[in-house]
Amino acid sequence: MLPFFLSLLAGIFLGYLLRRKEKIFSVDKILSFIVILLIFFTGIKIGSTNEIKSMGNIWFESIIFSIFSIFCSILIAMFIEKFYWRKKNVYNKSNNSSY
Amino acid sequence: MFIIKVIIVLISGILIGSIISPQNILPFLDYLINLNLCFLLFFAGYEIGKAPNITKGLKEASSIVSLILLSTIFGSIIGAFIAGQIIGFNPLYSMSIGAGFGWYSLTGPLLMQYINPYIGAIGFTANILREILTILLFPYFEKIFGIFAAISMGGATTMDSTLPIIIKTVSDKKYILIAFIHGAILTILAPILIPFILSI
Repeated sequence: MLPFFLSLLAGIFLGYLLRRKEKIFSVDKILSFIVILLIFFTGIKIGSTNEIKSMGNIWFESIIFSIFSIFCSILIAMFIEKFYWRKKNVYNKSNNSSY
Repeated sequence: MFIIKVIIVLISGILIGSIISPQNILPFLDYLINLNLCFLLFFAGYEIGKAPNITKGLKEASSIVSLILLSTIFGSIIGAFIAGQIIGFNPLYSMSIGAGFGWYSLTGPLLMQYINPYIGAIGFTANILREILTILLFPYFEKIFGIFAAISMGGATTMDSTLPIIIKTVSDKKYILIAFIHGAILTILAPILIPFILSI
């Protein structure tokens, strides 16, 4: 995990240093390339995992578990996000009105 | 369109992986994935650092991370509990499947050891589905349900396997950092929470 953090920090640091410079290279194109490569490798890894082939009878249970976990996470997050922006807007408005 | 490329590449990867089943190159594959992730994070970091007002964004980011974390932890565990009630599973086993937060390579083996291979297999497949669904649906769910919900859906995978699609989707760069920290904290939490739930 440490190399990941260091890469991220190095990137942020370099980006911050060069923040006033014009675009040197197209980060978006590089990112797209790496993203596609990574998703391909992730696919190979998922496909080559032996466990997933030998279990035809657990798909139903797995789908139920997966969908409910995702659904409840989304539900709570939506509720919290709504609450968060509302609170923030109220805060900003009361700040502005004091000027 | 980018998402079509993603679908094609993901499916062909899974097919190639299941046909050639490259057990001997798996360590090399892991190395390739980690190396690529480092590059991805470096360039994503570069974008974050270059974004204007980044220091102001960081303060806000930390409170957003904790809010999304709350949704993911409670949502995943409560959701799995409800799912378990529907199919008639032991509630603690069910909650431990949810506490994998999409990290299938941990949840599967861990539950196989702690409980039995059957629950382990479900923990594995349920979490792998969570990862696949996030890769495919993130761009749409971000629009429909909001950015908090979309990141929450990804669980622990938002620091690695689903981070690419998040980076390509979000317009506000601070959410890349938020997603990464969110995933990193869950990656630390999952191996603690699963044994804890089973020990209740």
